[in-house]
Amino acid sequence: MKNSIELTQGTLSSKKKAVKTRNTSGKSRLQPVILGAALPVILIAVWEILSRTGVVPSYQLPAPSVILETILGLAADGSLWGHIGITVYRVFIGFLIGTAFAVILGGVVGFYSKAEQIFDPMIQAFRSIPSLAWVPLFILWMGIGEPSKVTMIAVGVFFPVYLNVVSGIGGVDRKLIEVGKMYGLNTFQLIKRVILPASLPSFLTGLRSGLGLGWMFVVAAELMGASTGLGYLLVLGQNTLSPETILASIVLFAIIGKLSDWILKTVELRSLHWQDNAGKA
Amino acid sequence: MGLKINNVGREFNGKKVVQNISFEAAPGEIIGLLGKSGCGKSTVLRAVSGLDNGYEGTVEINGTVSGGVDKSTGFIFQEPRLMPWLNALENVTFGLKGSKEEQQKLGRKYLTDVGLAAHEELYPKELSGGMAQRVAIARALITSPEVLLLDEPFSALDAFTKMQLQDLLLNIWREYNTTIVLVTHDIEEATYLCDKIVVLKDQPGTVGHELTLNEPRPRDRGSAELAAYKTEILGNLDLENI
Repeated sequence: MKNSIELTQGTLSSKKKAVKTRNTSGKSRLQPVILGAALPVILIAVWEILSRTGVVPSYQLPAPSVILETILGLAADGSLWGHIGITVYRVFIGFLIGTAFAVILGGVVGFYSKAEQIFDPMIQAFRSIPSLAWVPLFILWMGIGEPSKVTMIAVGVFFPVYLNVVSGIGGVDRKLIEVGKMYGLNTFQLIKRVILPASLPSFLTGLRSGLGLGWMFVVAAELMGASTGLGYLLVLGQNTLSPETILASIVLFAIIGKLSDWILKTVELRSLHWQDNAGKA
Repeated sequence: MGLKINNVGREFNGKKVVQNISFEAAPGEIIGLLGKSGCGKSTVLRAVSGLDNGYEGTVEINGTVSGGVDKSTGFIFQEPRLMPWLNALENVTFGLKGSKEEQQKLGRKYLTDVGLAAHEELYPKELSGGMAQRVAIARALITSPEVLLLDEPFSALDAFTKMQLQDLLLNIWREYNTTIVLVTHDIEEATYLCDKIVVLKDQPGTVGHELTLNEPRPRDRGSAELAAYKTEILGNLDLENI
């Protein structure tokens, strides 16, 4: 009897799934959005009121509407796109370079224990240096142009990606590798068909935290000396005593940062749909 | 394909787990390796499979001494060990080479054989334990192995699924005349399936007893003959010394 129950379970669960997907397109999809938006909306409203009524001096904390106006003003004179463009460009290039190095080095260290013995202690030592400490040196070496900023971001992105690649490869289930061996796969086939897909979740986690650090480092890099970029707006706001410019920049960072993370998260969900916990991260 | 295991022994970190294990399997025979947990059954099977090469003694497959994983050997593990990123059909065809269409055609045939024709698109996380183990069985069979090694393949399943898969295994055996070595701690499973049962005992494990069953198939699970075999095996397992 138990057996027949088990057999029908397969069809049951597929039915359930269909019901679920129908639900998510309707009401239940909107509900988390409303719940998540409630608190920010209330806070912004309170803030607006406090600023308008003068409880908080506007030269210290301008109202949300003023910040929005600042952003719209920047958009109207066209400089907004330049600032956003250059910042995104720096993060993107730095992210690519950092990820490339991390994948190559992490792959070598993950696959060959000899390489781990050679490289890993040194990399771990470098990791314990706060990455921002490199800034003066990079500026000294490469000037305050693009190369020093991009390098800066690449260094920030490198470590989380590297660590996750190494631990992802090291954490591949030995039992799955044995299955591959049982079918006579050689080392290259084992890497391609078992180790890479199995370490993909860890790699994507690394990419996401790497991207987060990339945004952190672009601010640091642009604070040090830049004539464009969202980080430059922060400096500009400080020097011209206009908190609304600083806050506008912060808001833009939040939006773009969230957007880029959302892109990676979508990639993650798409490529890791087979995971038992997909969708919860 | 015949199998001959000569004086196989294995130690881990200086501690002997099994020693002087010898037995033979004629082509198409089903051999059961039976014993308490920790007596080294799986260790012997891993040596036979070639996954473990650190053993003493020799394993002969069809008269030649095996030095590693043999192409004609299939292995079904205790757990399904499916690749979680592949669906049922892709898991079944994992060990195949050749064009994709041929692989899929063959994969569907074997999925039908194990009764999962309608579930080829499901991923391992969506399969029940019994279904996942069926996929694993199909994956092991699809390369038409002449020797099939099973490491307690049904031990994690409920009694009903277990019986069903045991009969499935016998059907496959009848069709392909595979030589089978089955590691199990389930005496009833051994007496139902095997032509010969090798009982391992002591630590380090040695061959304690070898038993040939001449019962014709299909066997009756509740028959007095099988019960007599069970009593004989129980008598040999010295259960007092646990």
